[in-house]
Amino acid sequence: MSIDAITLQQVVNDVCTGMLGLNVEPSETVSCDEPDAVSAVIRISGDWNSLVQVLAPRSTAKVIASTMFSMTEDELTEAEIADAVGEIVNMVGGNLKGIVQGDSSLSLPCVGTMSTDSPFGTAFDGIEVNNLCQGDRLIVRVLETTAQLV
Amino acid sequence: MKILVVDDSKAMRMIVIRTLKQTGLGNFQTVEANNGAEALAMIPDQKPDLVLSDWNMPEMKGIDLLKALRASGNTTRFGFITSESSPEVRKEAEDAGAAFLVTKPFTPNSFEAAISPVLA
Repeated sequence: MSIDAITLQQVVNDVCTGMLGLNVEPSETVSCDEPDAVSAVIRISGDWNSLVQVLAPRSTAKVIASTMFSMTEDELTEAEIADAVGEIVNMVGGNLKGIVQGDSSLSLPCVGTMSTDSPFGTAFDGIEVNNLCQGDRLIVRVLETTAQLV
Repeated sequence: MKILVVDDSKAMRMIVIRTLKQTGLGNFQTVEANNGAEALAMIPDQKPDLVLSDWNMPEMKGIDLLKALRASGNTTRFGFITSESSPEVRKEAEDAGAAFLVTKPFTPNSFEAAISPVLA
């Protein structure tokens, strides 16, 4: 079994809206290539091999972190912003792994900025859902691979 | 009642504690650990009544924490709160002695439904 965009969108909704209460609405394709955009990636390897990425401009990342920590955006540290976006990709990846089933393992999240951490390069050929999260961009991507990721 | 919350994400520890307060579980105090190894070191002194642990953490995973506790004869009630929800993970948790597994994302209702029977 593999993942389609409808399933991915449902998982994003469950995580962001169902649990965190964030207003998330699907949007047209958006770009998020600012150097300080936050990228969180998690790897699933085993029977199903894929990379899952949550990509958000810094403004969205701060909204997510502010919600998760119940703090104002001005109070947040860089570590807290990274922690929050990393936990989003962890929940999305874990849920996708459960949907696909089989014997796979989930890595720890890796969080960076687009300037330092762009696992897909410029050409992305996977499943992508574009959203507006509290009115700002939030992109979630899944890249399935045939090779086992280590 | 004392609850030990084990998660490498500070954000998730805060959400877990906030969600606990939104349930009808009554009075409790919480202590926190960053990973399984830290929790394992804290438990003899802290003597929690319940451990709520993430599965996937650096240093020591939640499942290894549970196995280490049981191997040492510690029978503290233990539940997982994790994004890992596959049947394989559930079976491994159950076989190791976990009382429940709550899947992230969760709600106060799903939290209470899992924890209340264990504390009854």
